Amino acid sequence: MVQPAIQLKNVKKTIGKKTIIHGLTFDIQPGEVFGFLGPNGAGKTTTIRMICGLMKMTEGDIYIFGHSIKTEFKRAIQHLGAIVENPEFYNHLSGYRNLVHTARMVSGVTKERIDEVVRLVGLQHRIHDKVKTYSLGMRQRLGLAQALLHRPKILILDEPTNGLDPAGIIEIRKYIRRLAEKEGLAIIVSSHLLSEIERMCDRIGIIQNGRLIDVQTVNEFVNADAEMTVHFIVDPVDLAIEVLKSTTGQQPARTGDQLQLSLEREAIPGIVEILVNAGIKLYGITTQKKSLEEKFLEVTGGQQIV
Amino acid sequence: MYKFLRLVQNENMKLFRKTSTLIMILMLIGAIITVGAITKYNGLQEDTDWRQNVKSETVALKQQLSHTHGNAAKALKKQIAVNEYRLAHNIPPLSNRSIWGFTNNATDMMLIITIFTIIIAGGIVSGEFHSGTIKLLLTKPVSRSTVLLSKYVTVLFAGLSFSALSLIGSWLTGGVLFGFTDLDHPALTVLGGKVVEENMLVHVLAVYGLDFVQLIVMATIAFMISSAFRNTSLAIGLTIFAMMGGQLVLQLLARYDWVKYVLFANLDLSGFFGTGQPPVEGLTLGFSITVLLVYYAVFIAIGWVAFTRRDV
Repeated sequence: MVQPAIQLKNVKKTIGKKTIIHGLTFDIQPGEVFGFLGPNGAGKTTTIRMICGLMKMTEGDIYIFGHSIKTEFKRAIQHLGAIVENPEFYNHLSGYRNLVHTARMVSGVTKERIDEVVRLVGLQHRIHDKVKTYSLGMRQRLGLAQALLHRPKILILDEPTNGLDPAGIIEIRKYIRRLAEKEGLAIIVSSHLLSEIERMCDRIGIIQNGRLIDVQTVNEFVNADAEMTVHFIVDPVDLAIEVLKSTTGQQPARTGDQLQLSLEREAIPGIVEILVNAGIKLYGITTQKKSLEEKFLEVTGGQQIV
Repeated sequence: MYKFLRLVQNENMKLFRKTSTLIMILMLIGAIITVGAITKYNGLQEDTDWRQNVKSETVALKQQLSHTHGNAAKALKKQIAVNEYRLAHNIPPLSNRSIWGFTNNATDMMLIITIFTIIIAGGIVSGEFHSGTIKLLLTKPVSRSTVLLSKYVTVLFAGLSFSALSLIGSWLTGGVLFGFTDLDHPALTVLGGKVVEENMLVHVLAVYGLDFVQLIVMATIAFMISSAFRNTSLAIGLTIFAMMGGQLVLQLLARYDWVKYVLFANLDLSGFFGTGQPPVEGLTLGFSITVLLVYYAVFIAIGWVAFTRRDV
């Protein structure tokens, strides 16, 4: 088995008498994009801070490629690039000098590497301007550049698409996928935008009140229910209702010329055949899965996410 | 070690590219030039007969000595000895309007420099917390102690740079305003009970050096508060208040025996050298240094523990 990129073992955090994190245990593999989801105050940022060594855990341990963040901090943290919460910089320095600042703290970053990363995030025209003149989107890009500078094997991104325009979001999303697939990075993404997580991540972990309530692949998570809602656009509608009723035993719901049925995927071709044989004109079929958002609300009991 | 130097390089880049730091440098240069100009164009005319002045001053000092005792009397005796040496060896006192006289007076800039250094020390750690950039520092393969030490070294480096700037700046200003003349004028001081002649540069460096001890201690206090409470205003305010109020506290506590263990009684080491006197009776140089070192160790320990242990 491949060594996990990150391993959390029964991680607990108590502040005062309040337990914020109740024993988190999960692994993240190289090449995997892991979505970290949870309502506000669930403990996402606390967990990320513990992984980055900013906060000490009360119990348990976190291993990065087998190195404990507690006892081998330097060896563990060198594999990690992170943007924790907002990307913060020295506003009175240029973007370039901010990157030089980072480069001096890690090993093996050449001037060429800095230029390469700057081009990668598309900041080459503004990199010598002071950061205080940057937009939030540009700060995000600089944050990504800063996190990737030392070619980490793990990337931690808190709200990576926050403040980016749609084109920027698509770009970052593609880039994250490419880093994971081509370069084998393990990436942790936390986001409020659940549709983002759905498009970017391989697996998601849902955390609520400091407990991990579910870890599943995105496909499993969304397709967990065998049945889905199927819409049929038919003519004549009345005949179709009768035919469907007799074959499936369900009363289809009707909206105009659309009929909705709850079906398993495998049942769809059979139904289509029956409808066609009965001389019903079939104009269209659409299937509707539950989105991650609906599932998420279901799992977390409908709490506010944002 | 290599990484530590790069961290110091980073801290210096951040510090010296700040507008506030540049303003401090400009203020320091401006203050030196202003004082120089006032001395040159607005000062009272000095009497030409320095011998008469020194003689009458010595008479006044002797009168004062007759009803003084303790440390103050020792200091008076030293001054009288110096004055008598002056007359005997024909060494006039340094004029304010000479290059070395001005440079010597400009050592008073150390008060401003100490305050500037306190301001830097008070913000260098808490500022990172305030801006959130502390995350950039602490998520890198560098220990927290190294990060803290690089900042501390940078504070002391800034204090040292300001002091060097003050020394060189005032010497050049003095030279330009009053001429680069009389460069080998000796300073008179008392060493081991005897009056000796001293090179002026050595003398001025000694003054800066002794004041730098106070600078280090005050900057360390501000640095400690900055690391422990992450509050820049608190760090700067409390330290400057302590610096200003220290002498007052000493006067209030003077009647107690344990006053010599108070930090402020031991801050000004210049009393042990030359014609000065320690602020409190019964202090020795060794004792004061020991007390300072103990306080220093406590301040460093508090700042270090607070910075390395706490959650960010």
